Amino acid sequence: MRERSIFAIVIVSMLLLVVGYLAATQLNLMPTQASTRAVLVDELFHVLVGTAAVVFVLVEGILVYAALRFRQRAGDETDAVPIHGNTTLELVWTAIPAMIVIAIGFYAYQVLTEIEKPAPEPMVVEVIGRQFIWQFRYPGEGVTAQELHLPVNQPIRFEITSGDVIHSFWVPQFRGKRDATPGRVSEFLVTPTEIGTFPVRCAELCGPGHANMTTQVIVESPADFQAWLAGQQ
Amino acid sequence: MSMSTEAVSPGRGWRRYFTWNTDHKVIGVQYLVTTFCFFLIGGLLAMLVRAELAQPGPDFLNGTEFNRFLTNHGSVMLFLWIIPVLAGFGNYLVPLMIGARDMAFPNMNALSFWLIPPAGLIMLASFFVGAAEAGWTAYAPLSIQTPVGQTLWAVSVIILGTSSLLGAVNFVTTVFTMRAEGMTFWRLPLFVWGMLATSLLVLLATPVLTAGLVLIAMDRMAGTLFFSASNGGDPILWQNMFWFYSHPAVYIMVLPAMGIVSEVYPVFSRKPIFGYKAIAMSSMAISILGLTVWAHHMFTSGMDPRLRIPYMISSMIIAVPTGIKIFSWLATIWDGKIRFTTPMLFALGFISMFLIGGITGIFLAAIPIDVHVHDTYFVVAHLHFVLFGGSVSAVYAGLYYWFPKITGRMYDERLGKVHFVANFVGTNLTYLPMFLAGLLGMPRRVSDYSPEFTTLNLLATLGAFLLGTSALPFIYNAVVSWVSGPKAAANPWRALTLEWQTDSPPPAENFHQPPVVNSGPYDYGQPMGVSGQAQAVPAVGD
Repeated sequence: MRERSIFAIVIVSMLLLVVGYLAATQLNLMPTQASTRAVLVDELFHVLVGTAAVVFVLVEGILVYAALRFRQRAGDETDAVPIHGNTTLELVWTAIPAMIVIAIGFYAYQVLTEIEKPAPEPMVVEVIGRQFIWQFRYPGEGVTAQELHLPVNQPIRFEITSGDVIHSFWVPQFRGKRDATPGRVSEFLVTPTEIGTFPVRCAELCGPGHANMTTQVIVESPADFQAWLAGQQ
Repeated sequence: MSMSTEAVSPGRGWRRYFTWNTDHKVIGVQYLVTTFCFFLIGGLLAMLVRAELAQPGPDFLNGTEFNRFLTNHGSVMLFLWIIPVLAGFGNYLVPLMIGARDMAFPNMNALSFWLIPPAGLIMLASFFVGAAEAGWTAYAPLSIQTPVGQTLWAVSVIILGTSSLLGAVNFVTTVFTMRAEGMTFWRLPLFVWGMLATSLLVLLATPVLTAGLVLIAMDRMAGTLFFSASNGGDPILWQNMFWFYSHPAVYIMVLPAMGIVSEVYPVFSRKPIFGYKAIAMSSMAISILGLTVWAHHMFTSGMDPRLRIPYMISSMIIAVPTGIKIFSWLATIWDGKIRFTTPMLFALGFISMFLIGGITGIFLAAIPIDVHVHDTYFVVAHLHFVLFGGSVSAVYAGLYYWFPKITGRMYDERLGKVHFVANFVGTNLTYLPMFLAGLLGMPRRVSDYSPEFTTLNLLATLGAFLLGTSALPFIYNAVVSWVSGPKAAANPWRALTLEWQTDSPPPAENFHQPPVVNSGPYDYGQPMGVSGQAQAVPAVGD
């Protein structure tokens, strides 16, 4: 009996590891990676997906197995064997989740430090949200646009604020957003890595036109960017 | 003995439910029925929102109308349904479960209920003057600029908060002072522990929201500038005040629900609850930790970056006491003799769906991931798995479980199972696609979206209509069974907690003679608690 249960635990653990590995490597749930931070965020995300898959399959598995295996036999009106608890088991299911969340917290902190590390010479772009448009200013260039143009592989520091209510500046392909709050300037660091056109969306409810407060970001080669900038001046 | 109570419980029959009545059982039913009506209204608003979102492009709601339906869907569901319906269970059950005759302050108890209908009417009547449209979170300065309905909304939520506070004072006092002889704290049913933990949260957190709402109302009406950035105020102040209440409010909406399912598992597994003290103490731990996590809603607000770390850690740690509960429930049904009654099905559904809400909470606590999925459909999915898959499942489990006690009649099991299946499929069909939509880039609270999200939204809308329809067999079952269902015995489930050791429905003042408690609430399978022999030895009927 004892050997059988050890055998079962080993088999189940191995199956769970396979499930976790497959979930972490095969489930691609995020949009295109278009910035340096996207790569790091997605690595963290995939580790969490793998861990979540293990916990999910384990708990739902026990639930379904127990519900099927331990259903009342017809005509059996007696009570089950009374077990009030098991200190070892309870310590295990307190300690292991605690260790998992502390490890995740530590890893998330490392990723956070990495993606928010200031670049040596960032290009500053001012972002102003207004009901219901985005404005992008390029300080020193005298350019204001309603479409965001960025040179590829250039670290950008967005300085984000609002002219009225709270908005939130979000490019899903960059993996991050920052609120545009009146009276405050919030920083947001991104280094675009993919040439292409991506959506800019408002993520904070800002009034009747919230859904349509969208524009696009065009990431282009430095030469194309300079040409565009010159054309705007 | 029951003669003296006739004076405080005027009228028998259905008429007493429409009067100022101080019997906690009447008040409990008033809460349950009234809040269920608001649940239907909130659900109708959700179906309108989902209908608009079935396909991209403006269909039949403009942005303003959409925001009004959306705002009031959230506000009705949280403030007029899930928080007060759980208080309704508390009202009906806490005095019975601890062997008391009534709540500590019966008149105040009636007042907590009677604040709810006018508050609900104020909130809904605001549709005639331009309803609130700044979301249930009412972020300033948007909520300062919107039409007059926003003021009515604030007034309504202040009244509901007051009702909640009065209820909490009553629950805490009742549990501390009205327990029957022998009902020690370690013999309290876990639902009572859940109500106690929730009431402490209400007492500590609700006043802060109320203060914030008063400031919103003053900014709107008296020309003050608390939340106006250009005049020295700060919009972020509102977010802190709002979330200081509204994150703990999630636990206010979940802890009693966890209490309900903790009553259901042992009864239908014929087994003691596993780890009673751990479950009770994890409720208190969640309650205390729950007060320290609020700023995880503000990771993208531009708050001091260093402050984010402690909030991330506390938000993740709260998974530990939650995990203790889930594992203890699984151990409770393990090796049991499980009966698949409707309440048990809903309670098992609670674990399976609440788990999804809990796991995705860790994703949201991890700051680098949060700044991507914050304010997207990922969050909408997460919170609905917690509150619909979780709390609402538990509410249904409780409604079926205590139906025989409250009405004195049995419900129809077959209709109950139809309800469970439709509700379970509907919940998953509605909310699972939303996770993906959020990850891929769909913001929340939008009346329109990019065509790339069409399939996911269509699935969610189909699920929402299935969910809406799933309430019909429940309503039919409840109404018909209440009127003409088979009579219920005092203790049809052979449960051991005190509420089952008196008549169904219980007489005025609950017990024919004061109960004396000499064992725990879940002693199934033991000589003391062999089925039929109760936690206490009151005279049951005749």
